Amino acid sequence: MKPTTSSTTPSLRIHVDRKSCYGHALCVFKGPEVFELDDEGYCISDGILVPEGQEEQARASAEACPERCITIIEETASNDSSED
Amino acid sequence: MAMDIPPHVPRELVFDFDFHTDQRLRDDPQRGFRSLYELPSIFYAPHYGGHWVISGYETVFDALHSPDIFSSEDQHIPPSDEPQFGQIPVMQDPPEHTVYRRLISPLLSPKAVGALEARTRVLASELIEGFKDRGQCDFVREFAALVPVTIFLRLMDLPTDKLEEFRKWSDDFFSAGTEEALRAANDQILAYISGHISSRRGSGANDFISALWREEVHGRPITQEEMEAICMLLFIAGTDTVTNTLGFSMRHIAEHPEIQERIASNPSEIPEAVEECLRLFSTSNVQRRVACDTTFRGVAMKRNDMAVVLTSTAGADSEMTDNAETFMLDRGRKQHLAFGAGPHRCAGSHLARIEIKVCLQEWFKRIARFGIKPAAEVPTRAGTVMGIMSLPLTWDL
Repeated sequence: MKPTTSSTTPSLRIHVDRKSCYGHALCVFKGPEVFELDDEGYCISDGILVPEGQEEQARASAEACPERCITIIEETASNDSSED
Repeated sequence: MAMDIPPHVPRELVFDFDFHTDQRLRDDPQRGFRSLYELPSIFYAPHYGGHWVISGYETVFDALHSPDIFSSEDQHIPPSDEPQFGQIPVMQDPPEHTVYRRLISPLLSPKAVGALEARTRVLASELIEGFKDRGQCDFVREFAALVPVTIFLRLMDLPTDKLEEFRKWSDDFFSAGTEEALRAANDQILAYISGHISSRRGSGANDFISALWREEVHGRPITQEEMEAICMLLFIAGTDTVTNTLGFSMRHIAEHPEIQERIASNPSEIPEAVEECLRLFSTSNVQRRVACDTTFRGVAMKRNDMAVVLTSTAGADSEMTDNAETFMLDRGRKQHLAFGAGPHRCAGSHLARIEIKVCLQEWFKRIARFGIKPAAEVPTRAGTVMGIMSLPLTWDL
């Protein structure tokens, strides 16, 4: 499932190093529209695309993660054709 | 404090610091622990058998993520040959820790404790309504000490007639400076909970104790002994900590009318205020035992050295943030290790955040301006886990 961004605006993809997630849940505190937790409270948002308009939330969440396990990767439309 | 310093400890890393009674910790223990930033981030304190003191965000973070060096098993300060009376899983290392941690995480997940927010709100508002018209209260005794214990007792489905004793038992536990005192405090709590635990075996109810009885570890049913060790931890970790963080935070806010004004006129900022409270007024440090001869961040350590890891002051590291000692709602990144990090990250952190947030919200809805009662005594306790025993506040009616 790929975004159909018409312009050259890069889309942002979230990478979560799940083995480093210890369930602080600050990603959801800072980015409730972006991040999601499983029933035990661990982040399950690895690999998702940041919804348009929520870029600031996503960045704040990555910065807030005490385990430093969230990175945000810029993808330009041209190299966004990789397989899932 | 005359004692032999072990030969592997360099003399320039030895500093006289007693984490229960040092002068710097009197009245304002957090400020006292923060003052240790003048010393090396790893130093050796010649008290309670001698132990390392580890501070600074990066150093503490590193220690918490090195369970193979800093073990949670058999950590005693002072050291002891007595078998350790356990708290599970806080006194275990991975992979064993992981087995037990898996049992309690779902009970305290954000989803599970989210349902407690409304209940906490009713409780907090009832308590405040009870003393609001008096123009004064003891914030700790009449409010902060009651909310977390009441919620805890409901989760465990235990009777609420022992509230006063609970507070005293926690205080005895955390102020114990000797092995005997610690054991006595431990036995007091255990004597109370063990009967309640055994009577829930086979119950189909949904309280924590009944739910834990239905769990298995290593493919066999959980035992009474394991249940006691888990419930001891929940009791010790789940009550006193929130009370004291609220108490120390409110003392600071009571002394700063500008913070009161800001919060009262912007109540939507309370969740951010909670993070700032946690950054400066967290009450828990942790203890570890060095598991092997090693060099940690350039310092040689020997197997069975003990360490106090200052998680409480990690958020006030001036390397990490500007004006680190100042309470600032506008601080962008309120980074702290109040709940630790790594495998032992506080499982109750989500409930703690809800309780602190709701208590502040309900308070500021009703009492926007207040101060510490003139000439009032505000007794505090230092140690690995700090405490504030009383905080008399007054306000205009």
